[in-house]
Formats: sequence, C-alpha cells, structure tokens
Amino acid sequence: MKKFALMLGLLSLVGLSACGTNDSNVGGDVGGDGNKPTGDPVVNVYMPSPAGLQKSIEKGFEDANPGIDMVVTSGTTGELLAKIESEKANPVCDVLILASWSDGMSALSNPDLSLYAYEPENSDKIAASFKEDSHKIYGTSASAVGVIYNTDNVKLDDLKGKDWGDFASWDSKTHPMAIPDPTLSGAAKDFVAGIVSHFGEEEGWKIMNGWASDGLTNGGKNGPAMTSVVSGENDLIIGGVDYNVYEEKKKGSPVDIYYPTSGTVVNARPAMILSSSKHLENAKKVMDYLCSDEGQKNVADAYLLPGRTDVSADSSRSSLKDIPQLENLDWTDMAANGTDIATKLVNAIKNNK
Amino acid sequence: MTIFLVAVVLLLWFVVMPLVIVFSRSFQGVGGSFSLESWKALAGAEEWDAIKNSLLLGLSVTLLSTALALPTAFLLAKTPLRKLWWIDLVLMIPFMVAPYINSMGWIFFIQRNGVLQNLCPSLSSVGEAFDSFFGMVWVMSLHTYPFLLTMLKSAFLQFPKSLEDASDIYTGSTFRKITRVYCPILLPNYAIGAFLVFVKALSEYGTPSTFGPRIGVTVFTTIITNRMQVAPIDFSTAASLASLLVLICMVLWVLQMVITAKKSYALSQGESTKISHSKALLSVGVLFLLLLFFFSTFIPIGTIIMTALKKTLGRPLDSENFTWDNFHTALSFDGQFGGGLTSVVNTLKVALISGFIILVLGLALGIFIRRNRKKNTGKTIEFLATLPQLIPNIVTGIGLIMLYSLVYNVFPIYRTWWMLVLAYTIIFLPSMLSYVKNSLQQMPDSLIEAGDIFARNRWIVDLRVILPQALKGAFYGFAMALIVALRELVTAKLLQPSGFYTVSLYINFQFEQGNRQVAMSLAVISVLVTLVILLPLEFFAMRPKKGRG
Amino acid sequence: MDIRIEHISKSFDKKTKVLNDLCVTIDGESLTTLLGFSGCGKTTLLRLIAGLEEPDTGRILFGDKVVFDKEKKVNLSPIERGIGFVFQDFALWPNMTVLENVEFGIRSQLRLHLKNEQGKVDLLGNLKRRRKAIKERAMEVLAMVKMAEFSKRLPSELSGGQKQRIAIARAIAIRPQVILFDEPLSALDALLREEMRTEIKDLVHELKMTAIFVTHDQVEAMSISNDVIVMNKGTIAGKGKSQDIYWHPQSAFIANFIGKASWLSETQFLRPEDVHLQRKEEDLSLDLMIEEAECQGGKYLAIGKTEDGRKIFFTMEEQPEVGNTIKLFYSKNNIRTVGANPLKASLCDSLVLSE
Repeated sequence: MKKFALMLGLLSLVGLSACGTNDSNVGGDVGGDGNKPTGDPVVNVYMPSPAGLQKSIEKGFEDANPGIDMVVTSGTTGELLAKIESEKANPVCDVLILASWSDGMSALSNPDLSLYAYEPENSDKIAASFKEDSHKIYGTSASAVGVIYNTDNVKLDDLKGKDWGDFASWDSKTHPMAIPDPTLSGAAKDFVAGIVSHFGEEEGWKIMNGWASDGLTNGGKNGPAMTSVVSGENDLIIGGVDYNVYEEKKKGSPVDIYYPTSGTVVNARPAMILSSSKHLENAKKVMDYLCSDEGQKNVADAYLLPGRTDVSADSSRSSLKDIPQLENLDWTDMAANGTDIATKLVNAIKNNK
Repeated sequence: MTIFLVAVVLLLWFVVMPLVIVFSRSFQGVGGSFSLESWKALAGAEEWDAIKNSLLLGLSVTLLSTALALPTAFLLAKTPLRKLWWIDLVLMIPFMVAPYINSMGWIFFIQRNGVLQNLCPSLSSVGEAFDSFFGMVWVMSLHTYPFLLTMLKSAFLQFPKSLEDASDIYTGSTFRKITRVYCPILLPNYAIGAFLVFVKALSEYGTPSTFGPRIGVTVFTTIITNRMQVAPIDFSTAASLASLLVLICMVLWVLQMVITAKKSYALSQGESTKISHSKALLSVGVLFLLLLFFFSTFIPIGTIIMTALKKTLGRPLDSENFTWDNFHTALSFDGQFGGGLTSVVNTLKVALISGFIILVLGLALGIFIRRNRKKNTGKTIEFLATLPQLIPNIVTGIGLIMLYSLVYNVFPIYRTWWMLVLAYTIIFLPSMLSYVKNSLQQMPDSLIEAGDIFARNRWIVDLRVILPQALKGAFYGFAMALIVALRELVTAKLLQPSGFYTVSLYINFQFEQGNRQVAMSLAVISVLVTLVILLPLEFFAMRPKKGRG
Repeated sequence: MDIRIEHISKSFDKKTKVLNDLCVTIDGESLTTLLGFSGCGKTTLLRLIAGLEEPDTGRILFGDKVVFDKEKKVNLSPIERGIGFVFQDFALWPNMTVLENVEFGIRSQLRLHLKNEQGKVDLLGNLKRRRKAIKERAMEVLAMVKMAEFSKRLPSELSGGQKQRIAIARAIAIRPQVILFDEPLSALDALLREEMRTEIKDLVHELKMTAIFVTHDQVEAMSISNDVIVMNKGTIAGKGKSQDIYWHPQSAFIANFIGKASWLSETQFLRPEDVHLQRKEEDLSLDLMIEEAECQGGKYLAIGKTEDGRKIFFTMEEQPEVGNTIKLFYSKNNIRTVGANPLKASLCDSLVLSE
C-alpha cells in the first residue's frame, strides 16, 4: 500500500509539471510551426464520404497540379470537425468539406474556427443558395434526402402520394423503417431541422414523434442505414441521402428512392479554407479545382448534385430542378437548433423502443 | 542504477504521461483554467446513461461469462475430457477473433432477413430477442469467457486430491463441501478472472460500437469516442469520462488484489485433482461443449463466411447469389480505403515494428525485473510497465492524442502511423512482460546466482543464462502482439493518420460504408491469419509435454 | 588461505536477525563444515561469504584480502572473490550442454587478447587458441569427476548424481581458492551420498582448496570434514575437529546435536560407546529399566531410564526386552564434561557460548 501511495505521489508530481508544459504549449505553438514555407508540396483535405468522390478528387487534383500531394482525411461531419478541434495546437487541415450546409453556417460563426475568404475560379457559376456573402464557404456539391426503400419488399405504388407525416401510420411491423442517426449524419440532421423549420415547431414534432411511436428505429450512420435496406433488414429509410441509392442501384441492389410530396431538404456540401492553413496557396488551388469543370464532373459521377448551375447531374439520377424542395427553410435557425432537434429525436426513438 | 533511471524516465513518459495528460485535461475549462465543469458534466443525461450502461454491461458480462466458464472449467478439469487437451484450443477460437468481427457475424445472423431467418424463418423471433441489451451481453460474453475459463480451470487443476478426500471424510454434506472448501479455495482465481472480464467489458469498444447503435445503447467507450470524434467535440468531458473509467478500473484492481492477497492459499502442485467418471455427467458435458462451440464459434464465423460469399446481401446464399468477387475486391492494392491488401501491408508494418520494440523492451525489462524482483527498483519498473494493463486502450489512445499534439514540435509523430506503433507498444507491453515473467518465474534463483559466480560480469549472465529462458515467453508474446495489431480497433480509429487504413479500420469503414460483403471478406482473411499464427503457437503451448522434462 | 569472518550480522526483515555478530576463522586448505538445524543461518553465512548477499555489518577476509568491509564500503562481487559454488539444486543452466556449463566460468577467466604473444594483431588466431584452451580445461575437469563422456549432453539428460558431478566440475574448473558447497548432497539418495562424500573430500585435498560445506547431517559433517562449525540460532555454538567435537563438545547443545548424550549431571554425560554390560575394574554402575530399543542393523540402540528419571543411551548386540531392568557399567575416566575444551580464541570478544 505504501508503494501505491508513493506511485500516486509520483504521478501527481508529473501531473503538475505536465500542466505547466501544457499551458505554455497552447500559447506558443500556433505561431511556432506556422512559419513553415507555404511552398510545401502537400495539401490536407478533410472530406466526408462517399469514398469514390474522395478518390476521384484526389487523383484529379494531383494530375491537374503535379507536385502537390493531396492527403485526404475521411470522416463524418462531426468526426472531421472534431479532428480539427483536436489539432488546434498544431493545425493540419487546409481545406474542409462538410456534408451539411448548417454545419457550414455553424463553422462561419464558430469563434474557434477562422475561415479564409477566397473567390475560386468559376465560383460565380455556383448556385446562389450554395454561396454566402463573405466568400468563405461554397457548396461545390449537394445531396438530397428522401425515403429509400427496398424494391423487393415495398413497391413504389405503396409510397406514391405519401408525405412525411403519412409515415407515422406506416406498417412498420411488416416493413421496418429507420432513420440515419441525425446526431451522426449531417444530412439527416439538416433534414430533421428542415422538417421543424418547414412545418413549424408543433406540426414538425407531431410528425416526428409519430414516426417514433410507429416504430422508427435508429439506423446509425448513413452507410449502415443504407445497407440495412440493401440487406432487407429494413424496408424504409426516412431521410437517407440519395447518392448512396444510385450507387447501390448500379451494383444491382434492390433499392430506390422516393421524394415525399411536400418536398425534401437539398443539402449543399460546403467547402472552405481554414485560416490556420499552412499551405494556403495549395488550398486555393483545391478550391479552384472543386469548382472547375473536371471537379464538378467528379461530383456528378459520384451521383451527387453539382454545385454549379451549368453542370448537369448524372443522367441516372434526378437533377436539382426535378427534386421537390421543402419551402421557406430558415438555415440560420436550422444551424442553431439542428443538434438539439437531432438529440431530441434520437431520445424519442430510444424511449419508444 | 542508471539503467533503472533510464527505464523509469522512459516508462513515465510513455506510459504514465498520457494518463496524466488525460487527468489534467479533465480539470481544464475554457482557456486552460482550472475547472470542475467536465466532471459535473458526468451527471448529464447522456453521460450518466452511458456510465450506467457500462457498469450494467460489465456486471452482466461477468455473470454470463461465469455461467459459461464455470461448467466448462469443471468439465475440462474434472472429467475424462481433461485428457483431450485440444478442446482447450478449440474453445479459445472465439477469443482469437476480434470482438467487432464476432459482433458483425452475430448481427448478420440475427437481423431481419439475416442468416437465421433465411435458414429457419420460424426462429426469426428468437433472433429478434437477441437484438437487445441481452444480445450484446451474449456476444461479449462469448468473447470474454475464455479468460475466466483459463483461470478457473487452473484453479480446479491445482485443487489437490488429498483435500477433496479429506473433505469427503470429514463432511457428508455436499453443500458444506462447496461453501467451505471449494468456494474459498477457488475464490482468488475467480476474482482475478472476474476482474479481467469486468475490465474488458468496460473497456471494450468493438462490440458496443457495432452492436450498440442497433439497440440505442451507449457505453463509456462509445460516448468517449463520440465526445472525441463528433462535433461539437468536448475533450474535457472525454477526459473526465476517461479518468472515471481508469479510476473504476483501478478501484476494482485494488479490490481484486485485496481478495487475492488475503485469501490465496498455496496449494500443493504434486497430486492432481480427482476425475469424475460418471457417464451421465460426461454425456451432458459433451453436449454442453458442443453447444458452446456451436454458439461461440460456428455461428459467428459461419455467418461471416457466408456473408463474404454473397453477391446480394439481402438474398440467401445459393448458387445464384454466390461469388468470389468480394474477396477479389478485398484482396487488392487499389480501391476504396486504399484497398484491402494495402491495409494488410500497413497493419503488418505497424505490427512488426511495434512487435520488435515490444520484444526488445519486454526482454530487457523482464530481465531487469527478474534480477531485482525483491528490490524496490524491480517492483517500481514492474508497476510502471504493467500499468497499461489497467488502462483501457481508449484512454491510452486519447492520452497519446492529447500528449503528442502538444509536443508536436519536439516529437513530430502526431498524425503519422508511428502513433499506432507507439500505442500498440504501450498497450501490449504488460502482456509481453507477463509472458516473459512467467517463463522466468520457473527459473530458480540459483541458476542466476550460479551465473553471477562464474561469469565476469552481469551482462554475460543476462545474455547467456536469463535470456534463453525468457525467449520462449517472448516469442509467444511477439506473436500475440502481431495479433493485437491485427485486431485493435479503438486506438487505430482514434490515431489513424490520413489515408492510412489498418485491417480493422478497413473492415470497419467498409462495414459502415455499406460494403458488408467486402468487409466480411477481409474479416475472413484476418481470422484466418490470426488462426494460422495462433493455432500452432497454442498447439505447442498446450500440448502435453512428453518424454524428458 | 584462511577465511576470517568478523562481526557479521544479517537480517532480511526488521524483526529477526538471521546472523548475529558472528566471528569465526575458517582454516585454509581444509574442508570445514557448517552444521546446524535448518534456519540456523548456515546457508546465509555461506552466501555472505560467496558474495551473493551483503552482510549488514562486519568484515570478511580471504587471507589478507578484504572481500567485504561494511565500514570501508568494500564489497567484492562473487567473481572478484574467486570462489566456486556448488548449489543444493545443482543450478545447471538447462539451455547449455554439460561442456558449455563447465566452460562458462573458464571463459570469464581467459581474456581474449587482440595481439598474440609475438605482439602481432591476431584476433582470429587468439580466438581459436582461447577456444581450444577453454575446452581443454573443461574436458580436464570433466575427466576428474569422471564425466568426460557426457560432455555433449544436456543437464536434463543426466541423473541427480551426474548433475552434481557437473556442478562440482563447473566449480573447480575456474580453479578457485575457495569452494563453497550448499548442502550439495541433500538431493541425492543415501548410497550415492556416501560415494560423493568421499569424492568431494579427495578432490578438495588434491586441489588444496579452502572448502566450506554446509549440511544439517551430523554424520555427513563428521565424515567429510577436517573442522566442524556448529551453528545455532545465528551464532557459532562451537568449532573443532570432528573427533573433538563429538567427544569434547563445547556445550550441551552440541553434545545433544552431534550424537546421543546420556546426561549424568548438568555438565557431565556419556556417549553410548562409553557404556557397556561387562563390569571392569573401578567401573561405576547404573540401574536402568529399558524403555525403547531400535534396530540399527547388526546391533540395537536402547534407551533406558534410571530411577531418578535420566535417559541413558547404550548399544546391545541382542534385542533387549522393553520393560526389563538391566545393570550397566562405565569408567570414571569416560565421563565427558561439557566445555572442558573451550572454543578456540575467538575474534569476537563478546562471543557468548550458546546453550
């Protein structure tokens, strides 16, 4: 026991000294390493799935900018933001792409996250709603959410004419339905925030609580939720991202997507440069590439909606103008309340189980 | 003495420092000032829920593991099955398979439209019953019970025949025999095993992260990774959660030490325990073991293999739905996440480097501890080096992140795969030391003293006398270190450098992206690799010694 | 070369002293046994002499060489003391062959030189010559213990007696001036033990080494050694030649420990050999009732009790009947007196004879 006490003493001693170094480092670090020449042939891009788009952008950018090595870090919106925060003392990320517009808005107002204003080439062709006055974030791609269904078990006729609220009376015993976890998926978070924004606080929650009491389950991240429809574990995914569906369809999986009547949330995926970037010139080149013809084609090939109005989506999917959209969405409000709404819904689902 | 100081400084830096950083971070508020906010946050709904779930999970898993291990240990020690040493080996298989792979196997088995429903639709409601907290406990227990089995079996084996005879002579009551003789004598071993299982259940990430979301259960590890990796991130709360987790483990460890120290008895090794020759017991036992094998090994591994061979996930595996394509995809150097083979190469790179570091460190420290085992220097080193055993991997992981992002300018390894090397080294060092220690424990003091008398200096004795004895354990540890690198998930996830995928990460990312068949193909490969490395090793370790001793 | 032990104390924990201010001199070029009950500190003393443990106080000298001095902080390592050690459990390294076990110590002694005798750099040649020399010497000692033909075997392939021969070969191979035996025969069976005793005795005398031999077996002690040191509870109880210590013990403890003693008074006793059935001139007599008799092969050791309750040990050719009375005789000259032959001048002035 004596030894144990001695070791504890030792530990606390080390702890004290650690706290000392800790503080001095936080202050002194940011400037210290930032003096590296920006000519470093590297650019760090933090980007959410799909992995196919990550790969094509990396390859396309490196071909277009020989000598610059693009290092892509993959993750969900939450994971990427977390990584950036954890690297505060020694920032790595140069260009950040997020999967949800509201997270982009939050990034703009985040005091810890300073964004760099830049107008990439071709940015004038980006859809007006995918841009923002400060020139700090650009929606270079977009996704829409809808109701993903297993075509072996559910027919389009069963869904036709249904609106979001109608799924509160869905026969979820025979045809289980799930929602991608809105606390993990940025797109799902914007979707549930959009429901509240469009239908209003009261009606919106009536709809969502209706789903929960009908037997809606939590499908996890976007990928697993998608797979659960492919595997037939679930027959419906409410609020699933659409690009996954087209990719699976191409593989021959029995899935398709349905957009309910009052419309859906189209979610621009914002790209931005961090002011803490140590490779600012390269970061600008990345933004240029994302807005370029080739960059936009990569977006379309990944079944996402291109951010530029003059580039059309892949022919196998619905284009932006064919997707009915929920009207009067207040994105500032959605950005502010999205996380709370998501958490509340997840808890409602848990409590209904 | 210099060696001692160098070792202490290194261990303090590598082992203790990450822990200290986590602790100090938990007291840091906004701007680095002292604050208790993050500890107060533990009472928040989500945090409190996760803590409760973790403790409940730990308790349930310990109980269920006991229920599985106790009869198995009894059968393997006290019936004629004892002579069939290979049964041990077969029962160890689920323990060799990474927990997240086991979980995935079970998920595919029980889920709607899963393997069970495909094969036997009438049993689908049974499957759904497993889609619950109990299911998670079940899956985890199947993975953890071998720990207890080993401990309890050796306790049964050490139980001297004469003691049993004496109990038979002096009491006719079976109840008294069990409560007054068996239980007290088995307790110390059980306490060690139960502690290990409980801590393992608390620190486990693979199962809760794959199974937990299905049933809406968060635990310590999943909420910590959530706080670390999902915005809005909260390092301080992650740190206080991690600190609490470590504290719980430490308290349990002390408790376990108290029990084992107070209640352990030196049992004679000479005469082996009695064997029951009851035919009825034997047949029930064989049935039990077969069922255990079926549930713990056959179902998850069978499901994984079936999934890996499916063309379309949602359809039953038949000749039309059969394909090798998933293996082709998994076994390539190109494709999503850099390709499965790339991840194998990455894993091997990290595994071999950390394995060699652990080998050298384990031997050096092991010899030092053996040399100085009665002195305070030896005990200090042993304490420091075995400390990571008490620290859940996830805490080591976040400690490393917090430490090396701070000292990036001095040691620029943060965000490189050297972090993984470091993490695996720290995580596996205690196990390596215990293997080395075990091989050296059987070595009588006089062998070393004889060395000191006849050799010019101590180095020669260390090298020529102690080292050869330690090597057996060390090589076993080296192989185990490779396995750990192959399966380790949570630290890999926390410390993953950009674009760098290990096997476990590749499987998980493919799983999450929805490419489950590809994920399972690489899982099959990794299980195979594990078995290829481990089975021969265990075979030689467990096979009864023949001929000269 | 004498070994002098001066004021040596040793304790392993704070409560009990294993050795308490111990002083004794061990004669050079002879075989001395340390005899005592287990736990009396004899093995500890041996290990202190070897340098395997460090005393708490005092000095140890090998001849004029100080090998340990607490005050001057001298503490030579075992190898610097130049000793051979034979362990109770043989302590042969299981990973080395018999030959390698024996060569191990020699290798430490024969330094590898860079230059040869002509002063030229010849590492390879020296290496070869050194190897040859080591092997030759090892084979030589293996021959001395009659184990040459076993040189390629592993220790696990040998019997107990063979292992002990190798352990002895390993010890003498380094040509030590001092050789220490820690109950080396206790793991062997009776017949082998006697055979090995003789061999050890002969070897020690042939090689003119100072040997210390720890045992708890009185017969073994007396048969093997020149000098016997009897230890009791961490102190020296007595010291002397085998015969002296039997017939003229320095204390009652030794008298009882080393053989059967029939006490006539507090200080006077008889050995069984002193008592006989036939009366000789001027013999004194004892009337006994026979209480016990145990067969010792050709004769019987009997215990009788006098009227005033004294136990008398004596031997008989034929089996005595328990319960019978018997008259025994002894010469007045044969009455032994404890302490008649006091311990040789001791180095410790404070040394007190232990009871």
